[in-house]
Amino acid sequence: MESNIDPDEARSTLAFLDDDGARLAERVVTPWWYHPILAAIVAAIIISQALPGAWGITLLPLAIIAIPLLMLAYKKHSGVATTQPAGPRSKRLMLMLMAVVVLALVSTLVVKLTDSSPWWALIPAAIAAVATVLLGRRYDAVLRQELALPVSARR
Amino acid sequence: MSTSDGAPPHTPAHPDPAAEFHEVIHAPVRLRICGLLRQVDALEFSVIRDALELKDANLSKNLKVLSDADLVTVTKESSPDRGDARRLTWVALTADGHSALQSHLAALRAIAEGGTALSR
Repeated sequence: MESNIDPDEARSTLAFLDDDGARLAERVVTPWWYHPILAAIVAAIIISQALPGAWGITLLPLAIIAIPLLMLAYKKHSGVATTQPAGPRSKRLMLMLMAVVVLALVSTLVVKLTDSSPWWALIPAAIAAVATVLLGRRYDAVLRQELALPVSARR
Repeated sequence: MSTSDGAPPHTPAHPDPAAEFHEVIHAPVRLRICGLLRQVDALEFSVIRDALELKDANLSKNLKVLSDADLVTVTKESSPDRGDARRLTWVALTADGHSALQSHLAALRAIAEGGTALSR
């Protein structure tokens, strides 16, 4: 048997999908502990670059292993697995945060290569940690806003 | 009324899909399931159920249809948080599912914007 989809039905169906996206956005709520723990991991990775000898070699893999564990905990907590930005604003925030972390890593490497005191690495580590919390929380808020919008309105 | 252009954040390799109606996806519940999944990497069963306000049996039945058509993957995972030995069920769109959904949405948009009815 054959039937037809008329324009009104098509528009109604597409609008339903947009409404569902808004409901999904309400579910994407990051627990309070996520960004502080992520900030601590980021700081540990940065500091590990400046630590001498076995300290750095030990700390770096531990911190790297902690990242997927944290993401797994978040995924199980929320029931949502998402690793990509939902629109241009969240993408910009993600790139900004990545840039801050890379700059902090480069700063720490300079500390190490110039044989300066490892304590100087605390400054870029602290900046990256604060940026992780602030930009990370902002990223989540923007991600929720973009998920709640029709895809066509996210540009 | 708002409309969706259907371009997902996770579009795999089909930025401009051809409009093509997909019989399995078009069923309202299945289209809404796929519509949710296109936004993320994966969703847990209960999140889909609650977001779409479906009964467990209804969602399970439709996921089976989508899975049999290779449009979604359904992965069960143990959960130490649960004392009743139930497992978490994760659902994700496959690459074929992404492509089929984008083509289907393109067909719907063509109808909605062009005002031409599609025969199915």
